[in-house]
Amino acid sequence: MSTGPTLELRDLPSIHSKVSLLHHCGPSAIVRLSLDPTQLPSGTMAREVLVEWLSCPGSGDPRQSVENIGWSGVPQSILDACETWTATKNEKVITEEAAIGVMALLVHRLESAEILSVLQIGSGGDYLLAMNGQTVQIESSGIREDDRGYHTNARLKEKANQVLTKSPAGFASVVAFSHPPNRSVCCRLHFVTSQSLALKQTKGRNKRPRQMRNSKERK
Amino acid sequence: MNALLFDRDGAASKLAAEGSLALGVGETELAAKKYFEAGALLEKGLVEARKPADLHLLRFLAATQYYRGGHYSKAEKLSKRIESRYLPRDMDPTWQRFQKDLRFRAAPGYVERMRLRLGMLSTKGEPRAILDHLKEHPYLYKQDVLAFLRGSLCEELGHWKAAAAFYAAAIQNAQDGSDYVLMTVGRVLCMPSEGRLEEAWEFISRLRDKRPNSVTNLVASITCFHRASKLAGVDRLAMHRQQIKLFEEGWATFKLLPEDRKKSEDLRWIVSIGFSTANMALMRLGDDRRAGELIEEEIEFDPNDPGPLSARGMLNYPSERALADFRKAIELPHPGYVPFVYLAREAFLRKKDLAEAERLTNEALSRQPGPAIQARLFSWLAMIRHCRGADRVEVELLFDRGLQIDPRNRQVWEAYKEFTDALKAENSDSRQSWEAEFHEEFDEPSNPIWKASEESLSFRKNRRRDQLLAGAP
Repeated sequence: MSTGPTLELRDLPSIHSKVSLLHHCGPSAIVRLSLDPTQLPSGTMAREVLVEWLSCPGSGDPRQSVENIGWSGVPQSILDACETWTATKNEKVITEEAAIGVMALLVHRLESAEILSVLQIGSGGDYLLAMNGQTVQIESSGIREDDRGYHTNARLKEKANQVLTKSPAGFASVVAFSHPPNRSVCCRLHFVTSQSLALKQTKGRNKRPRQMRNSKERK
Repeated sequence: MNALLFDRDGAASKLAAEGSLALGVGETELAAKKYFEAGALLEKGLVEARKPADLHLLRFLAATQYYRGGHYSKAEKLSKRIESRYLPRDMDPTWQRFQKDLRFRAAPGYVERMRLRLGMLSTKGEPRAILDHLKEHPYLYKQDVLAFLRGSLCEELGHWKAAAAFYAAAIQNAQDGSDYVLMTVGRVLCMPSEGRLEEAWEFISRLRDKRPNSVTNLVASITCFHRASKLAGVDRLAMHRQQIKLFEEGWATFKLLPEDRKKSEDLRWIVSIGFSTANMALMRLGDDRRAGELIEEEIEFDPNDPGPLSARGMLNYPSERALADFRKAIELPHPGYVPFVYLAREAFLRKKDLAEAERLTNEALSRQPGPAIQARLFSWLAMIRHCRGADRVEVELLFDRGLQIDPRNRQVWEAYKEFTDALKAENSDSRQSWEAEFHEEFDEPSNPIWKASEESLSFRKNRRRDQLLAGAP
């Protein structure tokens, strides 16, 4: 069950007034949330998103919550666009745009952050995003279907590293539009710093098998 | 990198977003314009870039917007001034891919090469591959041509909502009743008989909502007739009322078309089917007055069309005038099954001329009625043959043939039961009870040239698609 009011795509223009996120990401988000990879019953206007959120300063354990994302009240032109969207845009671009749309709603709700710029760079599905001035970098990514459940984590690490190549701290966001066990939509939104990333990597290395540790200690 | 430097006020992002939406709905002209403006805006910001890293990244962003808008030469010219050593290291794969892609698109002959590739894919029958190519290369064709191509590809893939949206865009500026418009609806007319009625409705209702004209209204009315035929009671009548409303709109719009358009054979064929189904609907609604008026309008529309003569005959049957209409109808080309059925019925019930009844029933069968009618006609043949003294095996074979065509046909089962009951009673004559079956109404319009014309329209559409893919105007 959702922990708060529905986050509506129609509010994107007012909460991120400097970018036309509804035009840019609205149809892709609606497609990924309601049509593909999971077709919802006709007339459904919202979908639950399981959120794993690690806020600034990026230490401690992430918090889990359930948010509702809706698309009621969006202009008819955006809904009409969904009819042709999968025939005009490639799958990767739709997924990345949808992820930006979901991230934009969550980052505003959870961090009160505003996105300043969204520009595609290159010929693929890469984007340059700017948020809250220079101080916060954000890397966003989407996965259409994560059948086994581990691609999301791997992508999160990749994006976390990417953020830190540009800035000492920032957000990494990965949205999987079908995640086990229930093909639910999941978003991992993590604030990362070089220290927090290093700490996580150290924790990972320290989790060696008990037998091995004991044999080393015996030596 | 100074993240505030590029797109400080989000203006370029907004333009790019509008370009993206335009591309997504197939408005490539608008997309090209918006992306160009986004690129130009980013280029303006170059004067403020002090650090080389900022300067070259901004150039990359600007070049990307030009690329997105199909301005490949401009993008290439700008990208030649980018020094990749100043770009962030993690952007290297993106930059390499972009350069390679841009070189391909900006090279001379790019459009012709791509069109050739799409033509080959069409020859191989790969609509999905063509659609995917058009996603990556949306500026190979003019906007309306691209929309038509996408419409026909989506139609082939059974993506009806998208097909309707694309066709609506393609025919936005096309004249009502033109070949272009007719080609968009050709496929729909035979889908009901293929058992794809709901898909047909999904398509034509959307196309008609977006582009109400004579063609879309008439085809929607015909599809509505088929939907009504699957229903019963008040639902059927309500659906027929919707059908009549669509027909009246289509017919009224048709009458306003230029004379040369009204002479189009395909368009007149659609009008003719519209009339047939509208007449039948009005009879089911019990509105004989309006049915009579419409029939007279149809006879005026085409005095050599046997359809309205048959319809007038059905309206006035039983009467000598009705029989005269049926006899006149069967003398004209493509009379359909209806006049033969009524004349066969007349021969069996009143004239007691079994040989004539059998001949006329065979004629009706040869006019390719739908499965339900075919099944009943085979049962008629069985009854007539039995009355003429044919042996049991022959009669049973005829009933069996009818039931193979339409296994759940109530009338055929009832007639067969009468036959088997009569055999059990040995001396009983089932002819009297069969007369009731001959009185039962036939409930399907009769226009055997539908299939031939649908095939003609579909063939022309596919041929036109291949011409457009190759770059024909």
